[in-house]
Amino acid sequence: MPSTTSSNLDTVRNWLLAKHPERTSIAADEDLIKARLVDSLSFVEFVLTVEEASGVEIDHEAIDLEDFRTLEAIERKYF
Amino acid sequence: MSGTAIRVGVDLVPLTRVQAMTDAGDDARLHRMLTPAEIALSRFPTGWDLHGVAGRLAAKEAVFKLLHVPGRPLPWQSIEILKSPGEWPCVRLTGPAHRWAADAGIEAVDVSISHEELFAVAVAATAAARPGHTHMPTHTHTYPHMHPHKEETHAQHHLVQP
Repeated sequence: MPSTTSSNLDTVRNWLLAKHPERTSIAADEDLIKARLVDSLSFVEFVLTVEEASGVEIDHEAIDLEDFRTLEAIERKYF
Repeated sequence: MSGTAIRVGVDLVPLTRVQAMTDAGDDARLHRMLTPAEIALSRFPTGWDLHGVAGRLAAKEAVFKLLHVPGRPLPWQSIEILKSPGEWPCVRLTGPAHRWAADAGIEAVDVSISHEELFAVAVAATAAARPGHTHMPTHTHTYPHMHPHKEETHAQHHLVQP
């Protein structure tokens, strides 16, 4: 249901905000990589967070970065 | 003009980032980023060797940077930073990293790692085929050994294994 999807995506958004206490919000179309909200070290944990929130098992070796570039891209692909 | 071009990659990892991964009491992230062989090299009897892990992660990122692969995240499991018998770091590429290296005409990658109290830094270097030049299929190369310094192990080495 839409409300569940939104709630689960909020889990991802809240994970990012917890990592970046200087931020109070993240727009759905904000480039997470360009904004340095996710880097290579945190990306593994980020993918695990998306996996847990979406319930979708993600093949780490086959990831296309475009699917993780924005919250709306993540929602489109995994929620 | 030579048919090869030098490529370098560099990365810096703060110890605090590794500490945060181990403090969480959940090693899942490190087990995603390190292969079993690397884990065996990165642990003391009392727990993780934080400097060793930081240096290894920095070296993986440095190697990934010189592969020049757009749109893909670092394939942690397919870039291994191991140790030669002389204790200097050496690189083993498998899976996607091996394919990308072969596509670029890369036959050998060297890495150098240095540790300070709060950071680890790594530099990787290689020779790749210039665009437009054909290259021979990859095969394993071993280079003459350098003399490792206690703090800064400089590796010349290895390679690209399927």
